[in-house]
Amino acid sequence: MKNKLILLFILLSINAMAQKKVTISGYITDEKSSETLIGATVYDSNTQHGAITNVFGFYSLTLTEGAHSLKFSYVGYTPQTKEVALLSDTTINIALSEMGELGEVVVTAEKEDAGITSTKMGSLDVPVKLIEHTPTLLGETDVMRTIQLMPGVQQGSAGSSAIYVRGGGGDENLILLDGAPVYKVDHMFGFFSVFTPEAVKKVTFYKSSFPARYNGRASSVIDVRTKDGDMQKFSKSISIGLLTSRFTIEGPIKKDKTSFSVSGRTTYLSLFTAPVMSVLKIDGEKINVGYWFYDFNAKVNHKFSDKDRLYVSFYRGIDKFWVWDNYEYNDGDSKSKDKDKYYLRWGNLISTVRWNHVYSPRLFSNATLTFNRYKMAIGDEYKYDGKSYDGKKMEEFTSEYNSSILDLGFADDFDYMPNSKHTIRYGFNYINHNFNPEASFTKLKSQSSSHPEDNTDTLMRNTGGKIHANELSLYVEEDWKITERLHFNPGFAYTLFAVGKKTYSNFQPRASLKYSPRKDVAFKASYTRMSQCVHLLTSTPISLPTDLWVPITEDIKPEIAQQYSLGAYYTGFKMWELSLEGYYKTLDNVLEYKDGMSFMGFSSDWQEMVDMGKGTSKGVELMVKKVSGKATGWVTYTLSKTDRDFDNNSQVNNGDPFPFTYDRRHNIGIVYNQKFNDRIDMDATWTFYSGAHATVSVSKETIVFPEKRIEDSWYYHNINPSTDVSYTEYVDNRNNYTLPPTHLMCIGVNFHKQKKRCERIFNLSVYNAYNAKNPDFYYSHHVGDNNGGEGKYKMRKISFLMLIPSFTLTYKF
Amino acid sequence: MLAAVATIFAACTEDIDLRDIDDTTGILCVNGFLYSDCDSNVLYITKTGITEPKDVNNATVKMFVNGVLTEEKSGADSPSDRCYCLKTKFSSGDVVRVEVDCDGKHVWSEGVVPQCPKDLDVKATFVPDKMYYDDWAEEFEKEDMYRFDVSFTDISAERNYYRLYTKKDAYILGTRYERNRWELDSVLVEWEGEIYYEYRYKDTTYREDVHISAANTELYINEAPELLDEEITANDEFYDGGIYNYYKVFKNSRFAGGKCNLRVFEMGLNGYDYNLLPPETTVIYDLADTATINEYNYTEYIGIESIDEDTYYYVKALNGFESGSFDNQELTGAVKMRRNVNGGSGNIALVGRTITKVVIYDHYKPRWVLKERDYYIDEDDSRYYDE
Repeated sequence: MKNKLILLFILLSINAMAQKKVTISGYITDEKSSETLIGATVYDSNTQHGAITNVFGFYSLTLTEGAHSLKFSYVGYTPQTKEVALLSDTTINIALSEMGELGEVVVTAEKEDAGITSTKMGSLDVPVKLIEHTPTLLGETDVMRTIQLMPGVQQGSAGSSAIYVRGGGGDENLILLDGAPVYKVDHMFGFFSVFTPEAVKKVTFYKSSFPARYNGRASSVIDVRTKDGDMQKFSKSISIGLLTSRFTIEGPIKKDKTSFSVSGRTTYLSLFTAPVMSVLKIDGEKINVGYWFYDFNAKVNHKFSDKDRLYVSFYRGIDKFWVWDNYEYNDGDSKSKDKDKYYLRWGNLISTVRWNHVYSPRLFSNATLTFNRYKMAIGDEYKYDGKSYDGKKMEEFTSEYNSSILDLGFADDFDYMPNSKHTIRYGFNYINHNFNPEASFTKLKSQSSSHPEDNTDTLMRNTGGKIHANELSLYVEEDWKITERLHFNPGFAYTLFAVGKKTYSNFQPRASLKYSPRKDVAFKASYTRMSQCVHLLTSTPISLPTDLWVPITEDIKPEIAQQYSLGAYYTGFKMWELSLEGYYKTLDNVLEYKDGMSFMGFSSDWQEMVDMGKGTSKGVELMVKKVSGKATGWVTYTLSKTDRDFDNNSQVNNGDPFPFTYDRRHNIGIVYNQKFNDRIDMDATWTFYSGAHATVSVSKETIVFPEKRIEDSWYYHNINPSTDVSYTEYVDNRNNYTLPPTHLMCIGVNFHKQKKRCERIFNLSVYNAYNAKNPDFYYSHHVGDNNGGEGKYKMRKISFLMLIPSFTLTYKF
Repeated sequence: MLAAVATIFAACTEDIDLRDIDDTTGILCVNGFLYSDCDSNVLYITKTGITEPKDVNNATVKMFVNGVLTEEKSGADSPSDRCYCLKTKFSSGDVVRVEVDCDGKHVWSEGVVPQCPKDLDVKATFVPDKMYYDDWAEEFEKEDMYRFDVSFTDISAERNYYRLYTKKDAYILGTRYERNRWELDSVLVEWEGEIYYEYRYKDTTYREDVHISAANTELYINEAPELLDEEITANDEFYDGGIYNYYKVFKNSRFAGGKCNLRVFEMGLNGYDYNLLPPETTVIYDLADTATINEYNYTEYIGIESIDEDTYYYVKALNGFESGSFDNQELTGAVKMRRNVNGGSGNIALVGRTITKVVIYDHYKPRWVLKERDYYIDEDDSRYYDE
């Protein structure tokens, strides 16, 4: 028997050597713009082997020497077939042309067949067209809002772009912009994300089966790639909306060699509110409240050769909110003017430099340098100018509290495709984190003509407690086509996170298995383990710039998420795709505030306020999609349960398990896109969520102080004799109340008109089309009893995002 | 545009019934700070109520020390009260169990009394103030202070929790010229004249004046007093919403097993003349006063309380309560209090305490005349009238 096996091995080896292997490789691009296409496929119908382009549009396929019929395809593009006679390694760059059908708005998982091709599961490509065709608040199309419509994704508070994926927290999503993590993705306290849709080329969303190169967050990955810039011709677009206006310009610097893409977005809310503010006075003081933000994206890419390509991208976004008041006093000889300004400012500065190099047709590499800075500041500027009989006096006072994160990173990723059955990806990622959660300065300057001896000019600076951390991840994964029906993707990441004197290491194995009994059916299973070494400190459901990112400490361990998933996929019905996924996820070292604690804007001793516990989430997600035709869209249904459990010694809920805030049992999402004709199309979404959970009190309990209570102010100290007993809300269990369900419909209609030199698109949208009164904010309060009884508690529901119509006008040149 | 903005923020408010939520009234709450070597510890026993807790005066309290029933008390000290004074003395290291029965409900709490802090040493120094400016660039009055350098030895290298205890005892004889309006037994009295007074003032130190540095590492419990430039810290009141350590708890993470050095600033008495008023009266209006102090007695009690982890977090929660972090239910939801009472609610703290008495002035006759100070309060402001 043993001899027979050896003989068989030798025969197979001779056979393999007899058939010489050759590799075709190259880039698949858009014909018009030369923009590389991510996730395009090349398929050899003779051998039934295929490959998919990576995030830089590069593919590599190793076949036997001889004639082959290669089909190149991409969603929304006309496929191309090439008959080639392969004798040696060959480079074939393919340019595909867009179908141009607006109705082809589809969501796919790497391909137009419910993820059947990919071994992985739980990933969704979010095409830019879909983002543009998702009606949203005030017509502001948004990446995050489109992702909120995916199965397994929970929305945060109403109107917010925050997401909670498969029972994970709001800070457990790794959001990457051209490979650099983005810490703050919100504008306007969470109403919009920082991603300008016009600048985005491709968004990929992963909720399980994470590729090994992604690390650092426990629950999801959103990989946003920006446009490279049109290599062939200049194009531009301008959009004017109710809240913001946007522009994009792209074009070649040198045709087929160098291109650029620049886009920007800004709001003019303050311009419109200025007339109101100019007449607004409170207690004789002029008050001005303003808000402003902008996003600016720029990218240049240069093709040195078919083997080398360089990308430089830049993002800058700032939000600024301010309140100032002016007071003028004029009484003959005495005149004074003072101005007090409070401001809140935050923003990201992100830059990446990436170099693609093709070492050989089978080995592709991408080296990335990243710079990422997030900064928040809250401050007060006061200025006084006065003149009186006593002379002139000037005072200036500036005080600022700020927080920042600075990340410097370097990564090198390799794609090695030794043959058509194996694709190996490996590499490393190093990030130097510099956290400065709290710093402040106070500047004081005063000048007095009558008392020059009192003149001051001082600066007091507190640099805060800077925290440096180093994170190194090594990873390797293989996509192994064992047989045509059975694919296996094993991999792992090994992460080292050094903070203070402590270094944490995490081994994160990941594996996916796919079995396709038929071409239109696939079953998948996967296991993933992710670790997270940074946390966002927040106590509120809305995103505030004062929320602070902090790294783990010597006491707080990394959060670990393990997820087991099963899935079934079917594309047997024409134009329809079905997918069913189930998951079970555990979270270890998940953080919650201890009883009696909450975050109030300071990070000092934050680790004292939290405790580590466990979380579990399980669910089933069904998705039915119609992917082509004049009417497209999908329906999703998610049944899930998520809770948190801290041990008996913990100080969270006395060790009793409790439901996660966003444990919403049933979610339904419907997305509908209808193209009536070349001039009019319509988009509609409807979502239904079971009620989230809230901690509500319906009684009061006594609290006793160790000494006399501090009073509100010094004079009350005398009015109320000091006491050491008071009372507060009594809470039996966290998240003890299930809120009413929420449901929301948004509708948008696009009117297209082809003008001589441009296309005009007029979008009319209605947010909350049937005026659903959803619980956007809520709290319990006591309602008295007119008959002398004690009364009872009621839930006060505040709905503030009612029916909101809006329009956007876009010109594409 | 404006219409759109207005539409966004136009809120619709609706009250809905709270269904499927447990009735949490009538839950027995037992709270108290029980100090070692003290024969008058007080327990506060109440039940949760809809608008406020209800006093419980018919409870039975049993106290066990090391498993032996040492005291059983039925009924509150006063029929209309919620206080249960316990006379049992216990010491550090004792296992103390408190059981409370009332109306068929039984709750209990048990713990080991922490060791008392060792080697407590306090040194007092008079520190003259410097001029400084507040956040609005206005000059503050100079207020001289006393600095107490406190040191003690950590009870072990394990994690230990402490609370700083400070209390002043002042006895003043003086003459005071006043123009005041007083409210005495709901009768408004206006008068002007010279009075001789003899005030006894006992109070814990104002929390704002405590600043702690531990093991040569700055550990600010509250804002530092602004009398020395080098003491100024960013952890001040600039950022509204911060949680202040009003009740002065800290742990030994920076001096585990070693020596802890604290620095406590106390305003003495010159800043407290406004507070040195007869306890039965309530000041509602005060324009100016000039006072002469004839005799000055001032004693400061400084102590270190050793507490367990439950109490440490309970007191931290009280700091949050005082700082307003329990007030934003719309955003954070109701905050659940820390508790260590089984079967009910509340926290029974077992405290090991060491106190030192520091006499600053004993029958001192300074003949100081306090300079006239103006306290201007808007007469139209109805907040100052007890309605």
